Amino acid sequence: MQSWAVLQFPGSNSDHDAFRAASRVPNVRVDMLWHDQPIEKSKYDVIMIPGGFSFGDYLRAGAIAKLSPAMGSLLEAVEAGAHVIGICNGFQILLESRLLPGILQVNKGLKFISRMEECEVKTEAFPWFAKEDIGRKFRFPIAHRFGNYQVKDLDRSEMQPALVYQNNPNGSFQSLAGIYRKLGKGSLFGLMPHPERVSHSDQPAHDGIDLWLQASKRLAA
Amino acid sequence: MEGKTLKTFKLSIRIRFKEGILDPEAEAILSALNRLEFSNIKSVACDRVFRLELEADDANQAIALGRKAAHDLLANLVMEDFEVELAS
Repeated sequence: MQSWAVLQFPGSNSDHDAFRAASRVPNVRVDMLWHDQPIEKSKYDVIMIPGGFSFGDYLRAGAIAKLSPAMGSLLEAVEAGAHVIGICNGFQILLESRLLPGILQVNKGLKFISRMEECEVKTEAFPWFAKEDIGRKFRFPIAHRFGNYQVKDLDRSEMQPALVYQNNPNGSFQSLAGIYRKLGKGSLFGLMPHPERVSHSDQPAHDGIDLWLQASKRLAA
Repeated sequence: MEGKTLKTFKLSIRIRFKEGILDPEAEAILSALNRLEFSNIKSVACDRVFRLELEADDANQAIALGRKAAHDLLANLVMEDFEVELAS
């Protein structure tokens, strides 16, 4: 049985989508974790940091959430073997925590963009993407105003440009939709698109399901 | 021993984008100004100012505290610089 967790902050709004998505993976137990407690070090295989507007996006998106006790303990959990996926606001929190490099600026067109985008897998990123997934295209929804990812240069020894947009919707550097970092026994994957919102039969598309099923399979192997 | 009396200081902390960081919002404001009768305005920057009131032994300590607050939270040093000033 694998243990997955969803971190909740005041203002998270994709927490239940993430919970629902993870709950349909066989042999996975999912916990909801409130942000005000440190995360138990070796308990979780996967930790999902969901989208939303943590702490109202006050100051900067993710700037206040990074100070939560759960975030303070995240690095240790990753080093011990947890694989973190930070989606949208979760990605913003990982950047503000400096666990991933770069920043998310306001979209190039200044608008909030909510639509489906085609994303291509660029690199291996255990447990999310295997070598044979490179070149695979997913259709994921995006919904953000601050999704314009900028970074000076991605240190390829540590960071991987895991996921790119086919039609860069927000002006991101090298069309990056998600970046991946291997760290200790675990990893960090930050992305703007929302695979957890296309993971159910009652949702308009289902490309997210594969991501969760494959990750769980690779973690079990 | 005599207890120290703390004084109250007012600080102004100005946050601005580092040079080379594109600010699409400032660009949009510039083009709106240019569409009005302000065609001679050549650039716009949107800074952010925080006004703090804090207690410290002296002005130097107040500024040092302000700098630490800006460094740790108020500014994102990847993209922003800050200046701390005593406000009158």
